[in-house]
Amino acid sequence: MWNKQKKDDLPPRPEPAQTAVPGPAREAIPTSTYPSRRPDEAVTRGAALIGKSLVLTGKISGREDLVVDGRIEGDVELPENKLTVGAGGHVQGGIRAREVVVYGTVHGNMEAVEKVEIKRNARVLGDMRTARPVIEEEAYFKGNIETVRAEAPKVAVQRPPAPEPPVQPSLPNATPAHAEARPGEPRKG
Amino acid sequence: MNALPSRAAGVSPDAAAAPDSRKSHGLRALVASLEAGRPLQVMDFGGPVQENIDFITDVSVGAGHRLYIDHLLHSYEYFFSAKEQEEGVFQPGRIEEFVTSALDFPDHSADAILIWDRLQFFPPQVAEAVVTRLRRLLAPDAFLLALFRTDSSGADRAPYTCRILDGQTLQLREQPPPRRIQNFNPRTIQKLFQNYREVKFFVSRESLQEVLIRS
Repeated sequence: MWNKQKKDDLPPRPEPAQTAVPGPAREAIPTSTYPSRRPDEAVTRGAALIGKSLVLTGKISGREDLVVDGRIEGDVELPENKLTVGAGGHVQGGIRAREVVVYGTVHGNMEAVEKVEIKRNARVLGDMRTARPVIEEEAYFKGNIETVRAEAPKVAVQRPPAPEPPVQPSLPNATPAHAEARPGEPRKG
Repeated sequence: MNALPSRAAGVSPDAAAAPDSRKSHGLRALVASLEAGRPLQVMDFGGPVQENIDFITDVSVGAGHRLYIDHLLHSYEYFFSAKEQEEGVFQPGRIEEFVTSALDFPDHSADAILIWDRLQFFPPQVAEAVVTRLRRLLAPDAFLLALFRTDSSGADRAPYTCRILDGQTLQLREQPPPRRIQNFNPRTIQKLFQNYREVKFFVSRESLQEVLIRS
């Protein structure tokens, strides 16, 4: 019920060419892709960048941080990384990431294991599910917030190879067929 | 186990000392109604306030509730034209259209609603339509908390930003710009909520009337 994408919540007035921020001042989202408050360079350094003139349609997934200054029409999946939507950036679709920071516009549901941060003047319509929701007061947010417990940080441990299961002649078919190879592992033979 | 964090129902020593803070009996009663031992659905129509998000959704101690946020006054100002807002005259069906679009949720889907002082900034016919719709959203026996300024003598006033400092303390600060505000007294408030089961008034200082309404 609450996780449905709130497309219906969009104000019924036709969307103007520039995305307007509801509020007394009725300021428009800046069209410049050089945000007035540039995301912390230290945080976004080394991240992939979708530039201001780029419009991408379709699903994006990967294992590196991403900064969006352009427009994405589709879902974004960066489960182990950070997504930053710059002040001129626009994501129309669902987001799943480790951390999400929004300076621009998001129309869609967001899920982040660690944190979702919606900055001043950002505009977000959609539900969020995260361990730590942070919304600055001059942001426009319309949606449902559900807080989840943060997962304990995963420690990369080199596990020894699992021992071969003992042979049980009496139960030849005990192991289900789909357990022969785990996803991502090559089949033997 | 309480659904809310333990600090919610208690008193934070810092809260009472915070500037512009006040005891809120209405909030205390509403918070008590949320102690169901399971996550509930709360709706806050005052816009995003970090303290309220933390208080209601905090999962570190309690179950953590789901919180729907919208700034209903901004939605109203965005939906209606400046002329409609200025004149308070609406084409047939416009108010219903607004209420349907802004409050498009299943019936009985809210376990508590925080409308704060927002109703006072709507024209009477919009306020009535919103109140009617909110009653449908509320689960049976659920509460709605509203604030009314009783000293509004025609002058424009800025709506409050309402922060929940703890389970019985609010901090209220006016958030400019000022807007036209409607006059309410206990009788007109009672009439506004006449279709609700119960309307409870709490005396508050500084000409502020806290009203807790049961669906």
